[in-house]
Amino acid sequence: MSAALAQSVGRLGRLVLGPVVTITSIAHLVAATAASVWRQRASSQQLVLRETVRQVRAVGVQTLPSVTQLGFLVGMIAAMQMINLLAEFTGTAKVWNLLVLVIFREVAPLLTAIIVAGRSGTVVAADLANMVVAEELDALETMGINPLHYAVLPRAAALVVSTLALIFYFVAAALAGAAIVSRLSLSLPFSFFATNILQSVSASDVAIFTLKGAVFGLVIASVAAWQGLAVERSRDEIPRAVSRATFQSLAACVLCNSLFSLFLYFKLSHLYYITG
Amino acid sequence: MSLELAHVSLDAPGAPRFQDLSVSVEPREIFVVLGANGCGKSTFLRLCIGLLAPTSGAVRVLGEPLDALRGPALEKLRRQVGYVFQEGALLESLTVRENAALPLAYAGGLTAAARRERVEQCLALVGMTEDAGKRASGLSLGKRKRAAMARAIVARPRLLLLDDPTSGLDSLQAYETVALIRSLRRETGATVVVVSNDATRFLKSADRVAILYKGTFSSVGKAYDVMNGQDPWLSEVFDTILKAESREGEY
Repeated sequence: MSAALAQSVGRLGRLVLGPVVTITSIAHLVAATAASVWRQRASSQQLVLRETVRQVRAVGVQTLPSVTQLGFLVGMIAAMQMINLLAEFTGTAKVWNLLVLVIFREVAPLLTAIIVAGRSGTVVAADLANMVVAEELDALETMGINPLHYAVLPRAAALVVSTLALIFYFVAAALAGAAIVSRLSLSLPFSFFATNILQSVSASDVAIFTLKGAVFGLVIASVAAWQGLAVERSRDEIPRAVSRATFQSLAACVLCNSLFSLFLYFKLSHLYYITG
Repeated sequence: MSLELAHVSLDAPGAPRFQDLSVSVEPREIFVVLGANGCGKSTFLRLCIGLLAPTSGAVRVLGEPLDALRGPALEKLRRQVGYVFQEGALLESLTVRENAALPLAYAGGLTAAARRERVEQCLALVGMTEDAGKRASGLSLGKRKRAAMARAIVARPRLLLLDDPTSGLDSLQAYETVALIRSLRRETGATVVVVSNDATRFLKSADRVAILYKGTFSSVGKAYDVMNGQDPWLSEVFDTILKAESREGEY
């Protein structure tokens, strides 16, 4: 085999195996972090719970204004477009169905995930990378403390909880925006809007967007933690790790969303897309 | 033995190379490893706590072979060892008091009140009571090192590993730190292993000294014997001092 051919085969191998190795190591990190909860003392669990609450404040509560603003605007825009395009053909009842379908099932989970990945995932990645460089994680190890339990678990749990909560906020803000548009353009009372929306929302909608929120939160948390921990010893590596964490978690969320949509389209099409 | 290295070699990317390091540290001893910057003193300490694994040879800490321990067993052993990093490695988001309390939260065996009392005791011992409520990120290097020492002794370790405790300190702080190390040994009864390049300060305080030179121990023994021996690194240090002083005379 010529050297050029060998090089090409090597490059192809790396291209195929690279993502597999990455996904396997991220899965290993998630499993090891979850396992670190066992056999810990009550006092250390309390400490981690306190740290989780602090992280929820840092990565979740501070993201709330951005999510609320974006949700409100998206709800207004979506309602305006749908009322203009659909109301005269299908009547307003279908507008609510479509609004619920678009906001609950697709827009709210994905846009919230994008905001969380860009704003909070970066904080987690940078935080952990700084801890590596400042030898804080080594210090935890020398104290007989599992760094996954003390440093990674609270940040990951906070990201999952925050993503879920922020998706609910996004939906609430989007519906508020849509309600205002329907009031102004169709002169519908808020009570009429609320009744129609509530009738359009099914249990499966809530289940799907809750599941998406949890999955996206976990994906962002694990990618951010993995990139943060991958930093070696130099501060120069931190911006690169943060940038990789943002891009990879966004790509992973979009991929997961596509898989969700595909799965629901093929397996639950009679429930999800037709009667929706 | 509190610490035992037998024929330890290390050949890892990004780390200094070691060949055939062998040494035994007795209980309650102050053992000082001296060497030039970049000779691998911090790497030596990392081997002693299992943050790095040797390429060959064995490390025994408090009688336990490090390479045979994993997970909870290794964590349990490490809770009996206090480690002070060169820059302190305090958790920046926590206060000094919270940093010092961290090992006790994981070690267990004490009530919350007893833990609080022990933390205050250790902070008082290192003279950090007044700064206990301050965030670690706002402390000077000297105070960071003191806070790290409080954290290292809080769980009553049997072995203390100190990485260059006087580096970056002014001479008064360095003098106080050496005195503090002696008093910590007296108070805790722990074995103390210090790595430093501060030969003048630690030769007087050590029970025994080892010189780390070109990846191996060039001398090990009582401070007086090592100073009066023919150690190549100490000879280099003394030659440099003499040459610098004679040049100073020329000027």
